[in-house]
Amino acid sequence: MPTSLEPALFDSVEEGLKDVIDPELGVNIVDLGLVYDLAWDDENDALIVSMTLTSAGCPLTDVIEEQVSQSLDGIVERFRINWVWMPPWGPERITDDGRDMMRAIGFAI
Amino acid sequence: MTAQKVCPVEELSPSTARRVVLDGIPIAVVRDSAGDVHAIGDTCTHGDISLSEGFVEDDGLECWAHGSKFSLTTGKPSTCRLSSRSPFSPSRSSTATCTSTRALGSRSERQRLMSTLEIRDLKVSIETDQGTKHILKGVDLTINQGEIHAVMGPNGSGKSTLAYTIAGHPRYHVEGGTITFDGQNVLDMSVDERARAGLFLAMQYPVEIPGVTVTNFLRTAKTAIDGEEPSIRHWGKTVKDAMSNLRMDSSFAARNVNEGFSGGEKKRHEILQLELLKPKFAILDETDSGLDVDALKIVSEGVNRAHQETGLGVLLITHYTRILRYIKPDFVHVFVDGKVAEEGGSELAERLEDEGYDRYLVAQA
Repeated sequence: MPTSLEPALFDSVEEGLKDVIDPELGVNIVDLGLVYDLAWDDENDALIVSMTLTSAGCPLTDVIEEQVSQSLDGIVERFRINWVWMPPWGPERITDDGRDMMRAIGFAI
Repeated sequence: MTAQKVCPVEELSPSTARRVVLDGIPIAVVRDSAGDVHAIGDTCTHGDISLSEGFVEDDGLECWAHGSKFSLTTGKPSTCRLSSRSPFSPSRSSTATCTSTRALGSRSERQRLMSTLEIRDLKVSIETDQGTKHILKGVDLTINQGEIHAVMGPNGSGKSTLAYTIAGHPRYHVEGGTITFDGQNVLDMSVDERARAGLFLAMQYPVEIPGVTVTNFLRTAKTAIDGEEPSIRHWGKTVKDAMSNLRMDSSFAARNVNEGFSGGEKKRHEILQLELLKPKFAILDETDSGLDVDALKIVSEGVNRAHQETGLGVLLITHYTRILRYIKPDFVHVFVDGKVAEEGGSELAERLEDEGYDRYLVAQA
């Protein structure tokens, strides 16, 4: 049964995941709103990252999984990604910081 | 972070420092008088000055330029020897707030490490409907980094022409003379090459660029000048902090460049560019025109701040002396009919305040 994370761990994980950059947009997955949930799997003592991608057919799931693994190194020992496709991602999920970054890169948003 | 061998300990004498660049970061490796080795960041908080060229004391590594001392254990600045305080030094700055770049060591020392922009016998013309108009008729001017030069004169004397010619405006045709930057011929460089070399122009009439946001424009310019993209994660905050120093609302970052900006907002945006791009020389073309007293103070604060933090050279073009009360010039040059008619220190500006330009125009007649 997945449980919620301690606030301190949640913050560390979220900070770490900000190093994972969506290759198409150039902004990190947290500020894009791609990370839907963070939970803890007590049975396996592992982090569960429930996340999606900007398009369902994206062929880069392996690349992003690898980046997530690198970014979480030192923060958690074990994790798994729970790929979620419903509800589908939309640009309204982008945070204000994410919008600032996209504008700086040159997107009209 | 990788480890890098610098040298055997014995090779570094006690009370000396050596500069080393590791992973792109300049580091000062210091051996103190007791023989212990330390390593701290090599860049002074004032600007691009190498601390390892300074003095190794027991209580820190002292910067040769202003006397700021940096702890050998934490790398943080501890003291600053300067006593004069500019009324415009920012109180919330995270860098050392000591002021007055006048204490920059002897002139020859400054010139050895600082850049020089030299204009010799410059003659410039422009094509008009009535034929070729000769505007500059042999201008001589030298600016060293760290110096503030005011260029004043009656309308039509060629002040803006000088600014645009240095920047590389295609309409201005150089008939003769030279402009060199540390000996390199500026007139051979394209406009963007001049910008990358460290020249900056704050325009008198900034142009609107619909479709390009301020944040995108600034980041693109910064990338072009530095040769690498500033971190996207920190760029937002960097711009926000610089904007708040100039009393610009953060919403400006999302607006299109200069679109719908008031005169004061346009001028502040020019100075925002100056603070973010950190050029070696800034040419400010009548930055004071159309500004009320509050905007003038804020803009002047920005110029002084950039001057203190980076030691930039300033060529301040102005018709009125008002801005010179806030930005103190080291040298004043009076332009009349395309040439330098008189040069002096700030007392010349005071004389112009009292007498105006009549003296030169009468002499011409």
